[in-house]
Amino acid sequence: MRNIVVLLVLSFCTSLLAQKEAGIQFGSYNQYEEGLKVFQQDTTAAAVYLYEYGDNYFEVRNNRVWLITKYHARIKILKKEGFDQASVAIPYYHNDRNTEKVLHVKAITHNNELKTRVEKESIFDVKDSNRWSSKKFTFPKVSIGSILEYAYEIQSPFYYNLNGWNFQSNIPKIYTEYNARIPGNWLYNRTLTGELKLDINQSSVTRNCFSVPDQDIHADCEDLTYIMKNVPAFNDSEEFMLSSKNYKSRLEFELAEYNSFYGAKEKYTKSWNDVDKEFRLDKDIGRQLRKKNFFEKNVPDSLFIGSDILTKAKNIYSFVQNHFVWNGEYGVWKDNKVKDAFDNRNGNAAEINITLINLLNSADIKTDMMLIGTRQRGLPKKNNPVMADFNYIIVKTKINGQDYLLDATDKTTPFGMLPYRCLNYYGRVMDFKAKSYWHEINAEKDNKVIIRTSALLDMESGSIKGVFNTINSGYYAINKRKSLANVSNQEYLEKIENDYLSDFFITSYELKESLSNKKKVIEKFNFEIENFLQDGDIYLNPFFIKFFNNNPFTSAKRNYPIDFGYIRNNNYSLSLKIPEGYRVKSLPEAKNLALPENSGLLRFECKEQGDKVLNVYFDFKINATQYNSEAYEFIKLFFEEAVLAQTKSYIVLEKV
Amino acid sequence: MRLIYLILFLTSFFTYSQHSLDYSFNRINRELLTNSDAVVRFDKLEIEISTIDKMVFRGHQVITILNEKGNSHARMILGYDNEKKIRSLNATIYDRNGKKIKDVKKKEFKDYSATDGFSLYTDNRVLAFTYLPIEYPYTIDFKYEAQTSDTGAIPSWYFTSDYNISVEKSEYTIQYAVPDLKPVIIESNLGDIDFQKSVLDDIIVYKAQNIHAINQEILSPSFQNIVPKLLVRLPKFNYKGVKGRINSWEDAGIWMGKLLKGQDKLPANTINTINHLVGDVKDDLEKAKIVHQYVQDNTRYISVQVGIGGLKPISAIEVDEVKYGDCKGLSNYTIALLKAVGVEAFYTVVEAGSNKVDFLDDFADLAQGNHVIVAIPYNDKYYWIDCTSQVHPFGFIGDFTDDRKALVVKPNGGELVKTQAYLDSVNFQLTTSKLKINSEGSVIADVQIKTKGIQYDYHFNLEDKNDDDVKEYYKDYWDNIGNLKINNYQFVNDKKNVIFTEEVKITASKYATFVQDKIIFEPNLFNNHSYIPKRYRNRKLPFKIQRGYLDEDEFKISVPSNYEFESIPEAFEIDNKFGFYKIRLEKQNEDLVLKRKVFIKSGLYPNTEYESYRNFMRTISKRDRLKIVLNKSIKHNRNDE
Repeated sequence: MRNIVVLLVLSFCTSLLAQKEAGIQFGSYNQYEEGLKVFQQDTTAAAVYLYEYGDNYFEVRNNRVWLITKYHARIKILKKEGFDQASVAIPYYHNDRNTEKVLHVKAITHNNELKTRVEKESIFDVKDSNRWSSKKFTFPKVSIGSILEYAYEIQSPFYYNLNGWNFQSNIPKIYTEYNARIPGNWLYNRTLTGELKLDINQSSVTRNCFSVPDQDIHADCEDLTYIMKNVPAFNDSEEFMLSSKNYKSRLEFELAEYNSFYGAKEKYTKSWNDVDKEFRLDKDIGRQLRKKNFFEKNVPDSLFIGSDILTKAKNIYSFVQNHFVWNGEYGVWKDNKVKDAFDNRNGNAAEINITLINLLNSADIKTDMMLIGTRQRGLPKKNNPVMADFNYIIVKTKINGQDYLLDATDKTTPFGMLPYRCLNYYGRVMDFKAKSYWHEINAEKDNKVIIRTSALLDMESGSIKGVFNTINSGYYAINKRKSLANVSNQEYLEKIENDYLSDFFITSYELKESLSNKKKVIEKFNFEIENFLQDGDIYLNPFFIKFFNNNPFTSAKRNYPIDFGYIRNNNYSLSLKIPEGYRVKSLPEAKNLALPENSGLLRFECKEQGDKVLNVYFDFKINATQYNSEAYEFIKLFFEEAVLAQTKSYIVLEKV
Repeated sequence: MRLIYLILFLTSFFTYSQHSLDYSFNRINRELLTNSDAVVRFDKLEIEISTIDKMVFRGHQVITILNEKGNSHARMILGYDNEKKIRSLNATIYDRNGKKIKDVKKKEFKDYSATDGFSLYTDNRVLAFTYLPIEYPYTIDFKYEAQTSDTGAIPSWYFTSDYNISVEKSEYTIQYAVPDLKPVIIESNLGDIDFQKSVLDDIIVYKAQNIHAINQEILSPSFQNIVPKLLVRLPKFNYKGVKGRINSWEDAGIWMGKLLKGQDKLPANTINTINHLVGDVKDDLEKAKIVHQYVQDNTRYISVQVGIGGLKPISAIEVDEVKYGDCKGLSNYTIALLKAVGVEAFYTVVEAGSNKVDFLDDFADLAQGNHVIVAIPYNDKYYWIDCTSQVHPFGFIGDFTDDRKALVVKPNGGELVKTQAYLDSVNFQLTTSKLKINSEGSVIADVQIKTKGIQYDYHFNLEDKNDDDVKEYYKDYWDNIGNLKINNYQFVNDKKNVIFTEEVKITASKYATFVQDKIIFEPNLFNNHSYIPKRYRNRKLPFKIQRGYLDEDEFKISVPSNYEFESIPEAFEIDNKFGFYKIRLEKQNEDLVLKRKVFIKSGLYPNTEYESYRNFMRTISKRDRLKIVLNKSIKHNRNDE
């Protein structure tokens, strides 16, 4: 879709482009910058951008129109850990026919008055992949207090590589400015993400700013300037979050339309109507979705026989799951070859899921492609179609009035569930017969670990003997299946034995395959804990197995939402026989905690039940997938209490 | 008639055997499947040395991958550089029955930079192909031919390349045009394998078969030290255009010395600066400390590997200009600065890594090393410095290059010298604490940790961490304490005596548990040994404790005044060949004092002793988790019943 690059070939080499003088002069800095020792707003910062400047515009060079990116930055090193900033990579893109060029790389280390340049020979060109290379260098004479300054230009034949600007990075920025001068021939959709406000947001129109020589048409340009000051660093190291891209301050451009000076119009992306039309006509995706005949010929006929639609769909789904090995790539827009993938029995997620769509449609089960962004890619913008937001294809179908979302890449995913990476709230269903529409992604709700334990104290041998009956369902079942597939039985049991501190042995194990299915794994363990006897009273932690030992939330504060992806429930119960000659001296206190609106629940209780039996019940529920950053403190506390219950509870038994 | 018959027979026999260089899974000897993730069916390398600067490799490898874990051994990869050119390479993939699935041609291999993960740039590259298996087992037949002028870089031959791989046949052939090009070969760990060797005038051949797979086990000596292998080198060789003749470590030092020659010039102003800094100091060791500090303050580590730059340092002038370099450049620069103030120091090549690997006495080959440090002779002893670290104290090299034989390059030749060792009680840690458990069960504590030796190495970099990371570190270090809050910390890094001191103030709410009129808690808060090495039902390999350590702890615990101890566990001691463990709890006035000592000796032990070592660790772990119970004193307790 976006692989068409139009290069204008002109007869004369003249450009009437109104050149705006770019930013601050290279090589200069002010006294404040020189004197800066600590970034006051964040004293922990190891380095800070004093100044960052970017500019995008179009220019005629050697009879072609190029997209030019200018970049200029000055970074102050405040601490030794900031030395990482001294090694720079400037990535550039190329395909089989064309390449971007990195030009005029200048880099200087300022140590007070002393300037030390990076020499040309010390700038290395490294091929990173088929499509990407980079210029790499490191600054000389770096010490605390150094100002690292560099600038370069990228000359690009790829107009869609005007992508915008990152205002926020892993170190703070005192000043960051982005400019773009875009002739009316190019239309870009733009979006500002993140919570920070722009300090300056200017746009104006310059008349007749761009032309190509032998055409008597002059285009007006839009001049844009966006500035942010004192931008804090963004760190995203904690567990349970969606893509940091959703929260980082960033300006995003996507090429929507290009009108050449010769009258041709090249639409890229504009409205969903346009997108729908393009998809319908597109050679790549569209054609791949119409391979019904091929598949009908190459799969067993039995797949299409039978009257129950749901069963048929499930059979087709498992057929595709088993037929393919996923190569780990997503692949969306280009280079999908479903026939080859089918023959080779391996392919990317798009190829595998397009195969599934074809087969379901062949079975007359109306099925559409659904475009999504993975959790890592970020949430797609809803105001206008930004195709770069989508990096993954899943399958949407409707059977007996119920919607199903499918993904056949992983062999362990049950019908109707999606892999964790896809749990990103919504996507766009490309219904080619009607119109495309947004559709919610609702994660499976039944995700449980249930552990039923019964145990007794054998006073003669001084050991505890017992049984765990466990059920893992939903996403827990998927994870269980994966870990069972990866290790031998022996390793699997040893891991469980080692999780408990010492003297814990699993004496027998059974995976109840006949009672299990893809959404549910049922296991039974017989265990023995040796040497539990103490002098006097018996102190016993009732959790012979724990869901978690430590709080996953350790930071004092969090500036973005907590996202669990799916709701979950951990449930443990124990029935313990009190040995002859003993009685309960004391039991742990009960706990009963809830998060607002019932979005979380913690219950813990120990009770003596009639005839010498102790019952322990622990229930931990997370009932929402997402909590905003204000809830962080409560979530942290909630987990803390759950950890305490599991690690610091004692049943005390005394001799009668 | 008869003749024809015979020919026919032979032909058919030949095609048959061709057909069944049989890659089918069924033909694998069952014994070779035990513990295996992959079976090498055939592994052959032919090396042909025609002149001092022309060497051809012909490799042929057939490997059957049995399961997903085995995939990491399905390596269709070949490195190249400016000297080494790949003439051909291709691969074929077969299914479990030996039926061909796919041919992989040279152009399907992808070209990558052989990034080592830490270099800014290296000119080493690889061609590689990754096959995505549909089913197991499958077999890869990989062939290549390459030519290089670097006869100084003959790879070692591993009869088996990793744990959990078995080998049907392994063959190594090295052919040389003239006796002058005959290689020196050292056999290592061939004792247990079935092999034949033949040495002729112009060719040496090794063949081995039926090598069983071994399981990796925790604490086992490094694979390098147990794998059956051949170390191969040419006494007369060419490397990156530099010719050499090496028969001994002395020669290796001379050859290295030639590469270093002239690289130690410095600009006049730098010579002035360093002499000015040294001033009146007369003592060579004191001078060296000043130079080391200067290097630490002014340079940083950046690796760039181009051509002979893999062995030859960039000049001191260059390092002086840009103030960065790799281990070679920074070491050479430091030596140049030391020379400028009249202190002798030697360039030293070593194999770095926390696993200690010695250079072999009788096999002089620089390829055994991957790192360079500096040796400073003083009063009949060497002081070692690693110039790639901006933080390590003078003379302290830590676990990266300690206690191993390295090549010291002296003006009159090289010499193997063992670097500084840090063993047993030298690696000392003292943890002391005064802590209070209040009536809510919370802990308030001041903790002090002092570390020396290798334990210093594990702690002192806390100094360079940012606040978040320090707090994160302690939450991990004391993961036995829930709700841990770090209120304050302070570090003193005594570089002169190599002692690191941490003073930490913590609180932890709900550390102790209340059970009616009792408080229960674990008194060993700050050095709780929870690690128990894995259990093996049948341990095969010996095990090694590389360095050993001594820990001492003393925690003074005060408890709420209205509680008294139910009972205090008796003191416990255990002493054995692996070390000792002592723990004692006693009442001092109203407080409880915990004293603990653990000593673990370095040593190499046979597999049969593993279980008793593990039991020792289990005992420690168990004793460390002992709980104390406090009862509410009777006098405060009247209303309870």
